[in-house]
Amino acid sequence: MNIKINHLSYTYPSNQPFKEDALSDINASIKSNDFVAIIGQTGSGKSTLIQNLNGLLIPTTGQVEIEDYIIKKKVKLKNIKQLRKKIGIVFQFPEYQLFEENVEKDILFGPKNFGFNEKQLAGLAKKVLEEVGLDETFLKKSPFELSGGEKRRVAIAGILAFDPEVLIVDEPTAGLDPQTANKIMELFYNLYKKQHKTIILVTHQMEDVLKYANHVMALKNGKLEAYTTPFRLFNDEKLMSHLQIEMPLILKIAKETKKKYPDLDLSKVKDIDSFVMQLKDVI
Amino acid sequence: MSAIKFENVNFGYHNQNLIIEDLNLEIKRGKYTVLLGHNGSGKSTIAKLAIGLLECKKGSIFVDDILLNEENLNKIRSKVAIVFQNPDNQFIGATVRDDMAFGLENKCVDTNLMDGIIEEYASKVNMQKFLDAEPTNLSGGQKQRVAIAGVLAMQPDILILDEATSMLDPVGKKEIFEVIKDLKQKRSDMTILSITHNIDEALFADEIIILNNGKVVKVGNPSEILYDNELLTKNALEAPFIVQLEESLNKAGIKVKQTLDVKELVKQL
Repeated sequence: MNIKINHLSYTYPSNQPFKEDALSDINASIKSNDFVAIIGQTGSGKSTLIQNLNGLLIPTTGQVEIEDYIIKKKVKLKNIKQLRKKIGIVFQFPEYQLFEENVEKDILFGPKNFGFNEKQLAGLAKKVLEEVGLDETFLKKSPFELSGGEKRRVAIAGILAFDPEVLIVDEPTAGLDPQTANKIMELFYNLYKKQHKTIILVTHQMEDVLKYANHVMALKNGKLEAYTTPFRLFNDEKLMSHLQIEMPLILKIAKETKKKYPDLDLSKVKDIDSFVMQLKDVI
Repeated sequence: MSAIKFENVNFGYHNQNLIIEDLNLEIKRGKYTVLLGHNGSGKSTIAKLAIGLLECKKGSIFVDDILLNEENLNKIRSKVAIVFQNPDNQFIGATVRDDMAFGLENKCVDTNLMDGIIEEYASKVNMQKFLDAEPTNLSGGQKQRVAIAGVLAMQPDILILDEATSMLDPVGKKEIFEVIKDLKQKRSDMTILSITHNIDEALFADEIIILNNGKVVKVGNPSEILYDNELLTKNALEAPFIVQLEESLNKAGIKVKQTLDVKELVKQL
């Protein structure tokens, strides 16, 4: 399912004197089964952009095309429920959206709302809980007894439960401990790799961009400054300093090491393990 | 002298299992303490207990050597300020300015001085342009900046930060960290308790406390803790990047000597 963003601008309604475009004239398309990272400083428009992708916000000007759906001002969006079933968003701090009396009910809320029948619902909560690394003892727990990291995983399970084609995740690992964060990132990567989902990841973690993403969109002050591959981005010093981002440390180290071992293939360096493997080959 | 002291504290929600059992913990006055632990280890619960948002089932908690109970609660809260992980949970004002004023009003700050203080602290976190904005229209990271400015302006004796910069980009994190470090330098009596997963921040702490399943498993200074990969991994934490890289290199048969300096490491390769 391809997403086409045409001349998208968005301004938040406000009575305030300062009124700036949160997004201005964004043009981009995201192909099916891609892993795209959206980066940019806080306030650059990342979260606003993703909310324009499933009709939670409607572009002030311009439009978003997703298959037959056109999200545009003054055009009534037909069958918006189906669109939202296809594009699942995991928001920042999704754990604050938990509200049911137990984890199972919370997970099944989305699927029920999208009209899943009894047969489809049977065993579903248990299955998605397993995907996020929680066992079935969690089914009957109240969301309020869970820790922050567990709540986050339950909230993600609630989105996985209705099996969206496109998964948009907004800083899914903020505030999680490193081991839980790694597990969650591996989960999204597997959904992309094995189940061929499209993943759109909003993140500040350049290490994750390097390791997981095929493409990267860089926003600054509401403008799309670059839409490229992580490798190209991290080799463009001018662009990086313009965007005020830092190269992942592993790539910095690899670049230094390449001075001594010119055969080192930088394009294959994604994390510590791949760097060590490349290095072993040339040493 | 302790800023916060837990003595044999038990806590659990409702009738559920105890999250914290027989906890003894001391946050020293005037120090920068970092509390590390996996999600669910009880870090945020400790913060909430320390400011009396939650009540312990057993044991005693002292803040600035005052016993935390109903009678002393207001006295204690006037000393402590906290920034929660999700800034949405602590906005009250209709504009950023109102929001920051709320805390100051509660501290009975002279209204003539208030505007100056608000502008000073908003500038420190680079939010001076947004004073008349509605908090709901700000981005996650901007909200965190405002929440931090709000509590810093109150000049608390004890500052608790619960993953307070989790939504900022790395450059923004560094910026806020510098502001806090600067403030600490100017007020050596201020106690900071930071709950974080950011191992780089822990490098600058006076003391690190590691928590696992509601228990203190280790207290020490950064050099005692951060290079102990085994200890960290066992407690669901991660060693600093360079320690991980060295281990991975050595495992692959590329022998390197332990160092904390990236340049030094590259030279060895």
